[in-house]
Amino acid sequence: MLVFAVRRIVTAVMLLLLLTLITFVIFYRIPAEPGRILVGEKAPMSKVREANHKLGADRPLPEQYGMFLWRLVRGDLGVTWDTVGDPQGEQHVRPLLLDSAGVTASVLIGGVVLLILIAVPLGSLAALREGTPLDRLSTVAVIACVSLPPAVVGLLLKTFVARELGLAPQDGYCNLVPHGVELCGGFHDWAAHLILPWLTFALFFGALYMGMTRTRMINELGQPYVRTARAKGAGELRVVGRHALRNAILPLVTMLAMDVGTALGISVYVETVFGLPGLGSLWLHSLGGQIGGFDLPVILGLVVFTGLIVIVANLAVDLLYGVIDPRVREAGSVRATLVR
Amino acid sequence: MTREAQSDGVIPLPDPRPERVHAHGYWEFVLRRLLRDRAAMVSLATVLAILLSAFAGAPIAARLLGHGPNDIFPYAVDENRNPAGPMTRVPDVNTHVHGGPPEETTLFVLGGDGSLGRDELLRVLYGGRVSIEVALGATIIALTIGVLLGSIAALAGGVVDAAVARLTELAMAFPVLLFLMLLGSSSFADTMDTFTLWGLLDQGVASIAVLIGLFTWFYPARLVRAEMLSLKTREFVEAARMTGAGQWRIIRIELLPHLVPMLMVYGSLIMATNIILEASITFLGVGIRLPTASWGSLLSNTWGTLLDPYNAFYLVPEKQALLTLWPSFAIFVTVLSFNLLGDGIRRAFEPERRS
Repeated sequence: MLVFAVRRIVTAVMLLLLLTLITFVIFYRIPAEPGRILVGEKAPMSKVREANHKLGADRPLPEQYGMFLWRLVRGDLGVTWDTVGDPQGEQHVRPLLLDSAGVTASVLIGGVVLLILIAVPLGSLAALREGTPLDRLSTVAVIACVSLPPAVVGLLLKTFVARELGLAPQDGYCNLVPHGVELCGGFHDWAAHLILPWLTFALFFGALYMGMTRTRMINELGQPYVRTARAKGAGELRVVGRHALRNAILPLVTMLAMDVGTALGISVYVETVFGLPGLGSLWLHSLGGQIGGFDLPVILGLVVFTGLIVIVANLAVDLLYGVIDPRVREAGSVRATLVR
Repeated sequence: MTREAQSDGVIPLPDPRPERVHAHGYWEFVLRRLLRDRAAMVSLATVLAILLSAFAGAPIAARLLGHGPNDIFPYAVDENRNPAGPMTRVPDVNTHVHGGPPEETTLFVLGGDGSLGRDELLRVLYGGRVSIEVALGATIIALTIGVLLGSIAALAGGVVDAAVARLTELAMAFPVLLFLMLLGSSSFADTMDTFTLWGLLDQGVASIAVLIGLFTWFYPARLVRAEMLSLKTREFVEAARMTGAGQWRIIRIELLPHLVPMLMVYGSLIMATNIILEASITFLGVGIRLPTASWGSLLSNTWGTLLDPYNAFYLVPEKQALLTLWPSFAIFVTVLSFNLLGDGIRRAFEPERRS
């Protein structure tokens, strides 16, 4: 077991390095002049070359990659290219990344809670009423929710729930812990601004998790131990709640770990629609040609960070393989494959 | 009384010729169950109707209306850059190239598509063709890679299995957005754009299909691997081996046919996901490029792309809602039917597994 764990961790690190290397190579294939971030669109070529030199973008690929690795070992992800040499202070990638990660974590964790609150009761109810119109209706309803791109679901919620009905703020983010300088903050503002993103997220994954809960619940309800509990005279609520549900939702934990990558991909759409300054928005900004230029340090930071999350989640599932339930690993989530 | 009556009656002799027994095959049972499943049949009919209207209906509609999906009609836009409403007759600029306002008109069934004044109906139909081509191509690529790698991993085991598992992880952790950006800005995309399989595909379809396929193969690969692992230890494989069948024969005759049900179910579900993916990628601003229509590009036509949310503001809300409705509705119906069809096929294949 220990040998297995060590070997898996070593390969995980190598995977991460491979990811950064591929990123470097791809970045080199994009015909963009990084220096233009500093000197603007209309600057003459000599200025651009000068800026390229300042950024270190004119050095050969292996040298740049070596420098990146050396800094990475010391936990330094560098300075964003659009603030290099800025007299008002350079923006380091690491704090930028951590701030954005906080926003994305707010969206994802709240979304997962809402998802569980929607999927588990609905799935259990469908399992208990298996074959009835209620079962069929709820199944079709949740499949209908994944039949639109998440960006469109988000836009629809934003347009109708927020703009027309005024039930929630349209966009923006408020910190959970108020900083004093901001206009809003605290739990209420935080939750109010995030309720629609959470809903978009939960609706996208809802069908999958509800279907899983339903299948597992039907399976568990047919097991001998449930019959034993019933025979002992336990009430329906106790049988379902205490006995069957526990076993039925255990594999959902594994599924959640495996869907982390997909969830991070969805966050790009959710965050852009609702104007949240999270990792997804950071992605688009660092990549978005006209908006922010191709900001290599930010891109690399994101690759390392998101890659790390996905790989660690997979590693955790692998190591806990037998501990939780090996059956789910292969079940996977075919419906939830979206761009990361 | 009744007993006597019965015993008095003539007892028919059994027919000496045995009745011909028709043995129902596996596939016959599957087909029967599918035909009896109302939800599956409705979704199958819908899928067929959508395919028909996108592939045959689009050229027919263009022929009947007398203009194409990319033709621009300046008169289909009012002075505030809002498009004409549904069922409007629009002066046809194509009939009069030189001077003077054109007398002849052409019918816009769903109205114009935005500030350029193209026909929304034709764009939805042709866009459907592009979206479905992308989704289908990506599905075929993903399933092919998935079956190959999944089978190899399961059958070879050991180091190969571990290598495939790591490759899967790499594909999962890969920043696809970065790759899309590369695609959007390099000569690779231009080369791929001109590749249309000898006119079979629309422009730009091949690159997006390849890209989606390359990043969605890992779910089918995982499923195929699991299935193969359980299949290869079954008795019939052992029996075949005992009768002297070689490795290839066992794979070809005994193992691969058992994957067909699973591939049909997941093919259908992946189709649904891929249509959403195409729309999302194009909506992001890095997918199918204008003027080619796709359902994603129709969405971005009203909202602007997520990367560059520009032209949403000049539209009056009703027009914007209407123009969002058509592609959204098309995506919704198509994806829902593919999803329900996949569920129906699964029910037909595994009646005993009640899910």
